[in-house]
Amino acid sequence: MRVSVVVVALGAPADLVCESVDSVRAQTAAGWELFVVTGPTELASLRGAIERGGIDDRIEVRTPSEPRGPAGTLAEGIAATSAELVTWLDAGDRLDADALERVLAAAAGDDVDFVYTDEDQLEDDGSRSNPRLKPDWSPERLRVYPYTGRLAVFRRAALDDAGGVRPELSLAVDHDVALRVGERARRVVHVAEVLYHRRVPYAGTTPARAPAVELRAVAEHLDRVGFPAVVEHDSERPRLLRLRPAPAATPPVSVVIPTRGTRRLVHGQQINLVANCVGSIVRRSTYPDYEIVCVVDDDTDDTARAELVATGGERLRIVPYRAPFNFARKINVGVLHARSDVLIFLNDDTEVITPEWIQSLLMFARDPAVGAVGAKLRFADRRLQHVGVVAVGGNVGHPYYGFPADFDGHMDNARTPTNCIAVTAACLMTRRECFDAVGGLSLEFPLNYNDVDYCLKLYQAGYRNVFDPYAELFHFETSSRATGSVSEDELEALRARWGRILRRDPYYNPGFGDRPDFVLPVSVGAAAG
Amino acid sequence: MEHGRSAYLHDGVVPYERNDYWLDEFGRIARRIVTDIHPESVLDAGCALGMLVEQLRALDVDAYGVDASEDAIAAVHDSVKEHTWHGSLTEPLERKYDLVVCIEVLEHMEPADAEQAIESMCAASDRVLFSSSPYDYAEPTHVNVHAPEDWSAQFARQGFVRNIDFDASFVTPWTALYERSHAVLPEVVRSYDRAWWQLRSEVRQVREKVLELHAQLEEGAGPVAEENLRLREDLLIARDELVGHEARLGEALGRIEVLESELRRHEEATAEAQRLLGSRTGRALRAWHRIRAMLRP
Repeated sequence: MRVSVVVVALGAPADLVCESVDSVRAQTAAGWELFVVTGPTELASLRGAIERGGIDDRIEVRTPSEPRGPAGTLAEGIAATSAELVTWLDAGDRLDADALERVLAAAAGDDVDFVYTDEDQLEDDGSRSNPRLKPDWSPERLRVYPYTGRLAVFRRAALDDAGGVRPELSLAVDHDVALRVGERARRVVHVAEVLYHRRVPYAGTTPARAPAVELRAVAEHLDRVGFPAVVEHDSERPRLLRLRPAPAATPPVSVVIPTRGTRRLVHGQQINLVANCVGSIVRRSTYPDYEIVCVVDDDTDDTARAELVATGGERLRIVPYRAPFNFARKINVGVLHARSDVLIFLNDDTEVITPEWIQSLLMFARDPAVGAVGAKLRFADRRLQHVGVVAVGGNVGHPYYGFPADFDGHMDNARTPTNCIAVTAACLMTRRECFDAVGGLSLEFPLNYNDVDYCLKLYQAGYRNVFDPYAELFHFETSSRATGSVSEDELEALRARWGRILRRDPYYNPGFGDRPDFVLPVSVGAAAG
Repeated sequence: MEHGRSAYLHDGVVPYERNDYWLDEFGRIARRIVTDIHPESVLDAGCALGMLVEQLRALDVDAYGVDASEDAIAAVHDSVKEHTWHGSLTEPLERKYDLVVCIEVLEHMEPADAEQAIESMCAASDRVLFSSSPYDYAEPTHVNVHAPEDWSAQFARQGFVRNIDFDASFVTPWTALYERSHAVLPEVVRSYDRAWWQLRSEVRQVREKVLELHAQLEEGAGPVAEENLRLREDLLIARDELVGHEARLGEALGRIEVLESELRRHEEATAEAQRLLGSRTGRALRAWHRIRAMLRP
């Protein structure tokens, strides 16, 4: 199998083009051909410059049939290629010497339509910085964030089937192509190695942006796949796009809250947690059709119960729970009593922030390929509490736990939708069909990890789990639970079931260290610097 | 006029003619008349094909039949030919009977004729077992359909009152046994009220029970709902156990793979070591080791 590489050199300095060409020439794999496409006036001098590095039959320098922009020129360059795989570089970008060897190995399976690798930034002095270590195939992530970036290699037939490179998408070509190929791809493979070095400034950080085509690429994707959302620029971070739930069907939703009427100090006041939680749902939610099912321990005191009833009103149903405490079982009992086919598990120490939280979770959860959707949870002072769960080294953790409220995360993964191996059941939406299919929350985990186990069961059954950054809630989690009380038995039970996934989370790049915060180990960071 | 009996008793599948189905049906009614009323003589007023007369006679009852349809009377079975005749109920009957039976007949007669017929029947007996369909207004021969209380009122004009304690539903759900009564109004009211109160209490209890069951269904409570919840929870647990076992099996298979590849590497290393030991270098190495051993103090 061979791969065609296209370099669009329009207007680029010859030495930068030659750097890209030399990096292809230096490949350990032999199965490549290279097309350098440039303007007619630069053709002869560029060809000379390239040939000074050595004459190679696999390299061709050509001009487009008529003057076109960069995207049109790229499309024409691709049309001239003949290999089964095709990829492209911007002038000045470099490939690692074994990049194509790795890609060819990854694309060996006949069903692989799309391969992408990690990348970093190449400074003018030749140093490298800002590594972008990516997750494995993450369709929800790609929707509004072109995370696959470079190197992106497509099976030529799949690219052509998806409509090829569309010149009118100009600067959003990469995102557009990744979306369209990704929608139909039989398999997408991520090579978790930094094999591509992008010359700064590159599209990810460059001020050269084209807001209109960015929106168009995403809007057309939403339209094609029937995703019920509209896309717009994030008002707080104009460089980012965000989704908003579009008006759609509003199926009944059941919010299941296990509680024992605990009181706790929040915002300097001793409050009835569940009444506060239910009150925030009733007051802030704009979703029309939902019920609240509270699974209440029998020894809950009458005052707490009365406060809950007074707050919940007609939305509320109380299910008594008589057995010894078991969080998993309380959720299961609540679900058995719930009337809807769309379920939200909610801790009683949460409080709704965003009025459209149910619509937002549902926007993701209604996709038959999605299993569980989690929310963005904040401590009382708005610091981050949950943006999805990461597994690393046989443990699970919350990335950015306690980080500043407006922290964006690695490749903005605290602010854009991501796929993750699990989300917390402190706020989790799931469809009843998924819940039934995997047997609900496992009683093997009475207190901890029942949510992680539930999500891993879904993952194993072929569903994707999603972090939704647009549904925000407070989570007044006790500090004790965060630090200490986790049971070793439950962790061992989790490892007995899911040890392999816990050691290699597909959505957590192995290039990161042992902490779940998407930070590089010190040694690698130093080498890159 | 068409004979009336088929209008109710005809179930739309078995045609009204002398066959096993209808003979069985009238046999059943005849047995109940004998056991519950035990009359010595009976007139079936509107007897149609005379099958009830036949069955009553088979039970030693002195039974007779009259019908306004000549065709029907012409078609009665030979065994009862001499006990049935063609005639109209609007004419007075010639003799008295212990019981007059009139099943699904009067709704086919003009109102004035029906009133006459009631008068004739009441003159001929102290008891009338009476049935007239309160439904089927659409049936074209139903020219005189009334609710049961209207018929009761007509019988009351003849001094006949429904026997409240007698359950005549073995004929049709709306059949009544009317009897000549000398009771004064307070007594009649008392007996009707007693029946009415019983029914009312019964209906109330039934409705309360229905409401309770309905609420249980709504709330997911009650024994049936609880059993349902228990089963659904057991199903969840069983599914989880299955998924858990599969996951642990996957883990074990993964460990086996790792161990197998380690074993292979070990075997390859051993083979390589043996190859080395067998070679000339190996022999030299062994010699060197021997020399070192000898040199060691």
